[in-house]
Amino acid sequence: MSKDWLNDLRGKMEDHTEDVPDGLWDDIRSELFDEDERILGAVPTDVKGQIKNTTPKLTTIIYRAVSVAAILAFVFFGINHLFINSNEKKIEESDDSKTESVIAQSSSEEIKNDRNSYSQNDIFKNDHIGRIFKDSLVRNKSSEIIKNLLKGDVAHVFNSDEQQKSSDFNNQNQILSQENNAKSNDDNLKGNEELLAINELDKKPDLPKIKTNKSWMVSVLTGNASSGSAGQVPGYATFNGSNMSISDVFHSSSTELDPLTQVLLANQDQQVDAKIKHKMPVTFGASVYYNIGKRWGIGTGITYTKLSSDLHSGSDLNYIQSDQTIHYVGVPVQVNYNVIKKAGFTGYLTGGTLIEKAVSGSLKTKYIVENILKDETEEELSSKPTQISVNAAAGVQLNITNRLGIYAEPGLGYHFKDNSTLNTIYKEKPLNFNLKFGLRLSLD
Amino acid sequence: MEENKEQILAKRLLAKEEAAWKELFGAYSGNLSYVCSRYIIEKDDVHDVLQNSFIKMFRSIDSFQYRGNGSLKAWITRIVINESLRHLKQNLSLKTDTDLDTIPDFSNDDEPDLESISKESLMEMIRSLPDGYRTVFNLYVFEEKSHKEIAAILGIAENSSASQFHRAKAMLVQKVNEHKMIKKAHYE
Repeated sequence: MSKDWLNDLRGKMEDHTEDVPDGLWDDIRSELFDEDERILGAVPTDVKGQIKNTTPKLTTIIYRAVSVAAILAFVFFGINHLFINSNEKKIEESDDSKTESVIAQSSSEEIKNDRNSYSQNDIFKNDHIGRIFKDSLVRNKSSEIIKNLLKGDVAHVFNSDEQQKSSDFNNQNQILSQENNAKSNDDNLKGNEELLAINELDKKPDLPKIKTNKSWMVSVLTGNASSGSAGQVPGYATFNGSNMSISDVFHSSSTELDPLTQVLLANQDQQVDAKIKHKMPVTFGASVYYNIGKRWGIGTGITYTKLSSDLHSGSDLNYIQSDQTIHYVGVPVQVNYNVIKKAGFTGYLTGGTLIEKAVSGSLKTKYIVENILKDETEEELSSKPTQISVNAAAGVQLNITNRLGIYAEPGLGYHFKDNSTLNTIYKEKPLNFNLKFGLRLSLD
Repeated sequence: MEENKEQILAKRLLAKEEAAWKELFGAYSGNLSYVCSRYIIEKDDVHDVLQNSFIKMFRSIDSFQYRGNGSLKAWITRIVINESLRHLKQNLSLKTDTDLDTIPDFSNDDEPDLESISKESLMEMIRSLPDGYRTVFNLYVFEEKSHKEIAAILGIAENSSASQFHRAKAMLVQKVNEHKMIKKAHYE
């Protein structure tokens, strides 16, 4: 048969040589014998097909050090910032402690904070509760993650990501917060949304296997804009930004028991201010990247953003407190350019646009006279604006494993006017600094 | 007992002596480049795969066992092949060679005479085979793997390996014949 010629072929080619790729030995030498590298114990443990080392190792070390420092700084910044925010919230709430709902809220928050400082040994005490909540474990966990993120316990978020152990702990916290109806409803809502994102993530690896140059990536991102913003105007104000008109006052004073009237009456002889405080936007998302060649990539995905703002109108004892919450679902389109790609490290520039549609919004208003809750109203926001923004950022990504990387992406975003009367942080500060960080998973 | 050159080199490699690794590179990189470029077409990728291979050798040299002359070369070649396959698996699907039916089937199993064809031309022909065919062909002919082994390595069905191999062989015969015709025409 024809096996002979194949044997001939093998024999003939056995000692064949081809040109050695240019600079190969230099790269290998710098990879293996660079003294600095060996002292650092950084002989690469993560060998990847498309990683190319063409410059001396020292630069890699610098890149790594810079990126680690950058990520740490961002995380620290995030924690710090969130912490400040939650502190402010607590102070406000303890002022309001005469109203029942607020008492519940702040006390559960305090308990939670205490819990956070306990050692993990305490966590396992609640075995049976853990079992009861087993089936809703995933949801509890994810909602807890969000809650912690909102509260500023970023370190804990990472913890619970890493250690399944802490899910009992999460259950416990979840129970605590479930005691507080208004709050936990809100949290469950958030939990579901996060669950959606997680489901999406789970599903994606099961899709028909895409084997194109390892170029599809799925990432989870979370981010926040630079800071909340606070504005203050004298007198009373409403959320659409205008000062309260006389007709509002006139109409609302038609009945004697009207809480608004009570607030107004109680404050008659006092200086009043309206304070609008926009909390920082919180963004979660899942995204897919497709690499075009080694340097360029385009990406899209889905994001969820929650914007909330407080409006405090009146004096310290008698005031109207409004909380506005808007939920956005958005689709980003990003272009990435990888500037540096080293073993385990990628530095890139990214730019793109994000179209967000408000899917729901609510406005809760509390009337408080002499620090006592007189009335509470809640309304759905009818206006559902579409928000368009453009952004540019520089990011660094460190690969933890072959497929999983942690990234931090500081950048600038500009939000165009949405032609609605809604007063949001986007309107107040169209151009803002933002920071996204998260995990990025690449698919084969 | 006298140690031969290869054995001495292996010991020096184990000591992670830079000069020894340079020697290894000098002695074998040409052949390894050939082995690698049988599987990998892109020049940059060949560079990356070879670099990764040497890093792998460096890190796992303590697992190398000297088993007679040529065993060092066999060991490093195996690493390069594994790295090449890993790269291929990451970067393309070996399962979905859809043009399976567009290649004419050759019934004539005549044996081409390779004597008059240069190694470079043969290499060019092998490299011009579609990725999936080429990989199977390489493993079968040069690495002397059975279709069963190839199927396990590439995660494909055994009969897929066999059919891809036959197509590859047919294509190569065709290329060899075309080459000869061109050469002949050139002389006439």
